[in-house]
Amino acid sequence: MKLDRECRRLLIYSRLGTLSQLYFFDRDGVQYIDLKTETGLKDSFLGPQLKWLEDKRYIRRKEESMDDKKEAVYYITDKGREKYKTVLDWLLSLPAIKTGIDTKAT
Amino acid sequence: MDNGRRIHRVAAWLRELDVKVDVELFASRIKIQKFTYLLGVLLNDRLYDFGWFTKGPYSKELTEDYYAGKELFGKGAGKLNDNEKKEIARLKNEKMNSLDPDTLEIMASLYFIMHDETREKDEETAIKELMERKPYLELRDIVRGLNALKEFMLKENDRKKLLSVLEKETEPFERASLSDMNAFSGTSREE
Repeated sequence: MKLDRECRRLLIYSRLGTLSQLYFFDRDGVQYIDLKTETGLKDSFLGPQLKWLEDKRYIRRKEESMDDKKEAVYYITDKGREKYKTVLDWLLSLPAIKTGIDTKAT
Repeated sequence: MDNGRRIHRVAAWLRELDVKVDVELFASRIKIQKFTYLLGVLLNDRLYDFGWFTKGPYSKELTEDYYAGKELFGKGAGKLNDNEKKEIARLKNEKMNSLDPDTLEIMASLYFIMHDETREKDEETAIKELMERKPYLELRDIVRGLNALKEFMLKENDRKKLLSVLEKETEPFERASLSDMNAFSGTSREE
C-alpha cells in the first residue's frame, strides 16, 4: 500500500497528531485553546497547521458561542476521517509493525 | 443500565435542574458532559465512565448517547427519585443551574484530579496540577471553581448538620451581642 503525497504531508509536523485529536472528539469538536495545550504547539506553528488541514478540507472551523464570547472550535470532516484511516492503515501495514503485532499475537 | 435508559436519566436530571441544552451547540455539549459527571458524583449514580481528555473528564459513550437521543433533552424523559429531586432543588436554589461551561469544566476537572485518578489529592495539589494541565486558566477562576464545587457537593443533609454546628458555635456570641444591645438600648432610654 502506497501513501499519497497528502498522507505523507499529514505525517510531517505532527499534522497527524492534530488530526488524531479531532478524530477522537469527532462531532464534539475541540476549541483552539485546548488543541494548543494538548499538542504543545505554539500559535505560529499550530495556526498554519490548522490552516493547511482546513484548506485540504480535512477539518472545519466554526465560531461557537460560549456565554458572552465567541470561540473557535475545530471539527474533523468526513474527508479528514477517511484520510486519517488511510494513514493509520498504512502505518499498520508497515512490515516492522506487522511483524511486531504478529510476534505479540503468537 | 442500558444506554437508552442512561441518557434518559441524564435528560431528566437536566430537565429537573432547568438547564436548557441543544446538542448542536458546543457550549451545551460541555454542559451535558460536566453536569452528568458532577451530578453522577453528587447523586452517587455514575451512569458513565469518564476519563481525562482535553477538556477534563469526558465520556465518549455519553457523547454517542446524546447524539442518538438529542430529542430527549428538554422533554419529559424519565422519573427521578425523592433524593434526586431534593438535591437538584438545592442546586437550583443556589443557582447552580446557571453555571457557565468554563466554570463547570474547572469544577469537574478539579474533582477528577482530587478523587478520580490513581490517588487522592488535596485541593492545593489539584489546583497546581490543573494549572499545569491547562496553563491558560486564571488562578482566580480556578479558586472560584473550587468554591462552586464545594457548594455543589455539599449535600442537603450535610448542609443541615453544618448549619446546626455553626448555630451552636455562634450561639454564645449571638446571646452576648443580644444582651449588649439590650443593655445599650436600656442605657439610651435612661439618657
